[in-house]
Amino acid sequence: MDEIDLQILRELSKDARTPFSKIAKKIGVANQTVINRYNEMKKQGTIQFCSITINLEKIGYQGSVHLLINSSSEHNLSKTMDHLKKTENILIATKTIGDFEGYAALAFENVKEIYDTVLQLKSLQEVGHVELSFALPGIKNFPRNRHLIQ
Amino acid sequence: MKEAGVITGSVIRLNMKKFKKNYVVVIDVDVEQKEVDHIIDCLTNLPCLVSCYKLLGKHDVHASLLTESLEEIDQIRDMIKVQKGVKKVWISNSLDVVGCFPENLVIKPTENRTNG
Repeated sequence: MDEIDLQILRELSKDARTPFSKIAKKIGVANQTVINRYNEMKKQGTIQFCSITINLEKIGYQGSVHLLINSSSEHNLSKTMDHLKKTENILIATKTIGDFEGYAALAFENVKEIYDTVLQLKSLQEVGHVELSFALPGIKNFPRNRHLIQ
Repeated sequence: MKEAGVITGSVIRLNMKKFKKNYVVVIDVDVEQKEVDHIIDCLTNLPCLVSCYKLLGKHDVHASLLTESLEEIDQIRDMIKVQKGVKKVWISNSLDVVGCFPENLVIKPTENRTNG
């Protein structure tokens, strides 16, 4: 990965829908160079995907709630993660080490949905403890590759 | 939908291990309410920060970070711990790539939707 690759990633990090022609002009290379470099970075797995971001409140959601999960003794959360990955409105789920063994984020429309999801989660044999925290408005999101842009 | 604020932007998702960012760290901070904004400011200054916001519930502030090493996580924890009003810092590291499941989001028609 050289400086041209990094420049392309910097531009796409600001807006993933920036046309290749605009990037080419800005960094002073040919269009085809940007296309080739982009395709190569995708092939190598450096670029995973491009996506849009959505304001959940605009599509009827009240917000999101964080679930911090610990297993019951003699169990781990592998099956719980499989369950969460298929659960409606679970947007993030991952096993962790540290103070908690699992983390998930749930988008919700009403309190009953939270209740139902958490109850279902707690009914799993391997789940010992679930902590909930509500995300308040004013979420600050930063590009994952922020260090590249700065 | 962009004009209406439904679509807020577009993002590119990179494999951060290619940039030596090997650890995804989830931090929850218990802090006195009057110091919450100060903690958010401290976290915002970290170049490895991915997201940060206030919480209502067991903890007060949540942050996700990408770090190169365990030492970096240790330094960040120590930096937060010495801030005014901080009671406890909870840290967990993701074991693998954090699973994102946008396909789980149920998108239903809303009352405000206009034609098209």
